Formats: sequence, C-alpha cells, structure tokens
Amino acid sequence: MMQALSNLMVGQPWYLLWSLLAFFPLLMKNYPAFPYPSLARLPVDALSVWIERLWRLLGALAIVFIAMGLSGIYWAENIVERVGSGAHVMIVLDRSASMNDDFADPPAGERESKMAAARRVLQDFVSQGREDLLGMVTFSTSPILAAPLGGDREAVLAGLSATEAGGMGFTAVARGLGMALDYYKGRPVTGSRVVLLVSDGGAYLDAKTREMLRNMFQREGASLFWLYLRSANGASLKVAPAEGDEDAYPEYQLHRYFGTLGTPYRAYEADNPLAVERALADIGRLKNKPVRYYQTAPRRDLSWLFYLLALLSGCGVLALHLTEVKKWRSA
Amino acid sequence: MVVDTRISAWDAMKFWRYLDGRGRLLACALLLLFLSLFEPSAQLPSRVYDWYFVVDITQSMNVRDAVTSGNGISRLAFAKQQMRQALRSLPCGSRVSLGLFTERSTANILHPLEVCAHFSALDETIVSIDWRMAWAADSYIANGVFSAIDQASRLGPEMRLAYFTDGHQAPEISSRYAPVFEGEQGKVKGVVFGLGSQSAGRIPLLDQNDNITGYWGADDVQRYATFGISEIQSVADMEQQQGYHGRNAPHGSAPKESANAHLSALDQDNLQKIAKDTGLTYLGLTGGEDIAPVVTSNEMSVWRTAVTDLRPWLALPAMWLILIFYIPISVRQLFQQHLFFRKKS
Repeated sequence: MMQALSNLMVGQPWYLLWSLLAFFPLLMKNYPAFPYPSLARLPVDALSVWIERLWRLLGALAIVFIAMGLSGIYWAENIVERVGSGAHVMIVLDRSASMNDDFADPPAGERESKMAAARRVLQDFVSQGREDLLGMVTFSTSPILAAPLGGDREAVLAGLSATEAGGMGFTAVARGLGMALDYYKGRPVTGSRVVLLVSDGGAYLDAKTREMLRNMFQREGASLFWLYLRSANGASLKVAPAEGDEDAYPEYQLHRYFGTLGTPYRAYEADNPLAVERALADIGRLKNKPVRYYQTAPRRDLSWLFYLLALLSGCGVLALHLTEVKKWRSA
Repeated sequence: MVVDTRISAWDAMKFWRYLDGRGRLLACALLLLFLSLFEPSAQLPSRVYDWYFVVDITQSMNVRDAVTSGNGISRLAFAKQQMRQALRSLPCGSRVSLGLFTERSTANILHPLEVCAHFSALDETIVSIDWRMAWAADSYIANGVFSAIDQASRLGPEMRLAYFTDGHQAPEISSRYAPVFEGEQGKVKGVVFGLGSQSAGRIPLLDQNDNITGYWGADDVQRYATFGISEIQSVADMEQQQGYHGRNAPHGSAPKESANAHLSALDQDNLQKIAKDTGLTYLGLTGGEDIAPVVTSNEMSVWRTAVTDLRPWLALPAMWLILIFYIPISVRQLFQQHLFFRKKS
C-alpha cells in the first residue's frame, strides 16, 4: 500500500496552498440575518444546524478538491499489464572502434562504415510493427544500457541514433552479452528470449568466460542470433579457415563457440537486406506464448477525479443553498 | 430531440430565474467545473526544457562524500538521484538526452526523448548508469565538457547542458597543454553541477559487488605532469636541473610532484574556470540541494507549442466564484451600501 501511495506525485505542489482558502467558508458567518428580533426566541433547530455545517463543509471540500486538481496530482509509475505475442529481443550492438571501419557489402557501391550499416539494419528492424519487446545494450570495452527491455521502440531508436557519434574502445562481446542476459534474470519466461548480437565480432573469449556465458545462456534459455557485419577484408563465417589458420579468424572462432552454447543459435551475414529479413522472419517463427508484460505507461493524470469531486461537492452546496430561507415570511 | 433540448433549456432558464444572485454565482462555478471534466486542451506555446544530462563516470565519482539527508553516498549515486528527480520535475513536452563522460570525451548514449511518453525508458537508463560503463580510465574533465557542449548543439538548437561532475582531473595536466575551448562562448547554455565534498577523500577500489576492497594509493597514480617538451630554455638552467636530458627527461629526474593526486575533492576552481570559459553556469551541490528548481528555471526554458491543459483556466475562476459565494452577507451589504452611496453622491 505504501508502495502504491509513493507513486502518487504532485505536479505543482505549491498550488495546494490554495486549499488554505477552504477555511473561508468554514469560518465565515454567511447567512442572511433577518431583522426580526423575535426570531431569536425560536428554538434551535438541530437539523438546520447540521445542514448549515454540511453546507460549509461541502464548500470547503469543493475548494480543497479544486486546489488538488490544480496541483496536478498524477499517478507516477503507472504500470499497465499488456499482452502481446512477440519475443523478448535484447539487441546487443557493438560500438567498438572497429565498427568505424568499412563494411564489406555496402548497398549500391557506396562506402559505408559497419556502424552505419548496423544502424540502418536495426532501424529497419525496430521500425517493424511487430509485437516483440525490445531493449538495447551497446558495448565497447564495457556495456552500456541504451534502452531497457520494453515496448518503447522510440527509446531504442534514440539509442541507435546516439551511435552516430562513432565507436570507441575495444570489443568486449562477452560483457555486452552478459548485460543483456542479466535483463532476463529473475523475470518470468513469457516469451522466447532472443539476444540479437550485431557485431563484427573481432574478439577472443577465454575458456572461463566461455563457460560462464554458456551457463548464462542455458540458465536464461535465450537463443542467440548474430547479425554478422563483415569487415572490408574480413572472412565469411560460412567458409572454414584452413587447418592451423583458425587463430587468425576470431570471428570464425566466435561463430564456432556460439554453436556450442546449447541454445538455438543462428548467424546471419548482413551482406544484403535479405539477411535481415531472414533474421526477422526467424524471430517471428519462434514459438511464442502470449507475452504478458508490464509496461510503465506515461504518468496518469488524476486531476479529473478531483475536479469531479469538486463538482459534486459544489452540487451539494447548491442543493443546500436552495433549502436556505431567503425571506422571512409568516407561514 | 430538438423539443427535448428546448424544454431542458427552458427549464434551465426557469431555474436560473428562480436562483438568487449567490445561487447564480455558484451555478456558474459548477458549469465551469463541469466543462473542465471534458479535459479541454489546446496547442499553446508553453515553457518546456531540453536537457542533455551528462554524468561523469570516472572512478573519483565513487568517493562517498555526497551528502543527502545526513547519509554519505557516492557522488555518482547522488548525481543519478538528482537526474531522476530532475526528470520527474520536467513538464511534458520537454526532452532529455543522456551522455556519459570518461577519459577525454563525452559519449551520447540516448538521443533526446520526450519525458512523459518515454519516462520509464529514461528513468531506467539513468538507474542503470554505473562506473563500470567507463570505456577508458582517465579523466580530462575540460575535454569532456567541451565535447559535451559540441554534442549538445548538434542534438538540438535549444539543448541545455547539465554536467554532473566532481571536476577531478586525472592524471595531472600540464597547464601548457590544458585544452582550450574553441567554440562560441555561451552559445550552449547550461549548468555544471559540482558534486562531492571540498575536503579530499580517498578514491575507493571496488570489487564486483561494489564493496570497497581498498583505496587508490599515492604510488598507484601518476603524480607528475611531465608531458611534452622542456620548458627550460637556458643552458645554465639545464645544467642546474638534476638529471636533465633534453629528450628523455625534459623535466629532470625529480619533477614537481603532486602529493595528493590519489585523493579526490570537489575541484570548484577548475569547474568555475571551465564554466567561465564556456559560458556555462557553475553550481556546487555540496549541501545536497535540489536541482529541480534549476532545471525548470525560466532562464533555461524553451517556448514550444505543446499540448496545454486548459482546465486550470476553468477551475481557478470556479474557485473564486465559490469563495465569493461564501462572502458574508454583512460584508456584501457594506460593499453594496458603499456603492449605493457613491451612486447617490
């Protein structure tokens, strides 16, 4: 309950000072006095006294409610349960310095950095109107959360545009994947979990890290999709390097290792737009239970409630006002 | 239907005639309140704010000397807390972008997002900010501010910069090679918020779970600013200086050493200088002040058409009408009498 109340926020608290004016109707002597001295001898009518008190109280309440309405009370973290039928996709985007290098298969013969290619590909992906939940982690030497897993696609796009500044640092694939997997930890499995790695993959993983990542992938039951961005002089994942040459191709080694994760793994070479479409189609084909997820909706305005209450109190005041004796007549 | 409305309008007229003056006031107030239930709104120019929040995530930000309600928390935690509060205080239609500073540049991690629609994404991203996100470990604070200003102007024409830092420069920098701001002074408005205490604290070494396992010692850090060519021009001085070698030891074998390079305090002078050079405002948050009034100050606002709630324009007059309704008869009579006399004379 306290948790729920702490979500009640006030937009402009100082507007609440208006409610001090509520004392005005409570304290003022504000009914007509009739110039008949004999009236003082009439017995006190308990009902009338109570009606008067109620009348003052309702007036005061109307003012308090208006003040509360003006102050803009809202429900801050308004959590809405939504049901979708998509996958939980955590995008893990490589932002290392090597991503500034040329992409091997740019469209229509122009030069394009791998980062730009990744951004183009992912913008397409994010803009698709599917019901997947998306989140994004960018990583270089260390992972940075750009957008939390949720339905807010614009946040993911904002994170993507921020990568225009270019890459920095090294390629620590393992830490990026680790942070993405952390996002699944302790949450109910309501949809297929997909880690979508977008990287040129020039990184070695040591045995310990490999083991740890494998454990994490298996524990969270996440599949790994790798959108591989080939460097201008890089190797394809499909072609196995010659015997004894494996060490020269870290991306191939990474590819081989991902194959041993024990959870579904697919690699796509982003050499043409079709690869992205294929990846999307594959994500779409995953068996998804209806995803029940909680989304923080924008703050929900509660002022209307207070204006309504003010209106009702005001109606009460008017009704009681009608019962007031305006003129003293002999009955 | 036409007849119906006519009858109800007729009834309303009858009711209106039946009411006395005070009743009519109240009826007007009720009408205004009733109208406000339809949530009228209009596209009106209103004050909103565009902020680029940049937070320093270098290790000196882990010093736990930022004070909130009597407790010492790390400067970074305090900065995050302040950013979240600022986020809550911004009116809808405002936009916020996020950036991180370490080494010598600021990295933009999120382009501007509207604060109400994307509140949870922004809030959660701020919460997730961690000193481990640093991709390199130096702290050339002036370069960070300059690059943030450069980015702010590219993020939006009216982008304001809020830079949260302790101003700690590491390693020591030679004043000859200190970066110079080359942009237009004051073009990007904003505030540099100074965090931490002014007495130097030790910089903790943290383990995986953020437990303090030790502190940076004097021997772990670079204490000399011996970068670049020698400042000595005369041969006599060269011979004077101990261990001087023109190429290999241009500052001699025992250069001027800083005794507390491993400690970190809020460097107000440095930040004030940077703020002055760039046309930003400096504001120290040493006493745990609230920044909400600063980020929503008129000076930093932008006029932009945004959906504006018109209900206060209805509710406020309604409240005044109700108050007039409760004005005592005697006062009103006095008032009327006064007017009456005026009219007569």
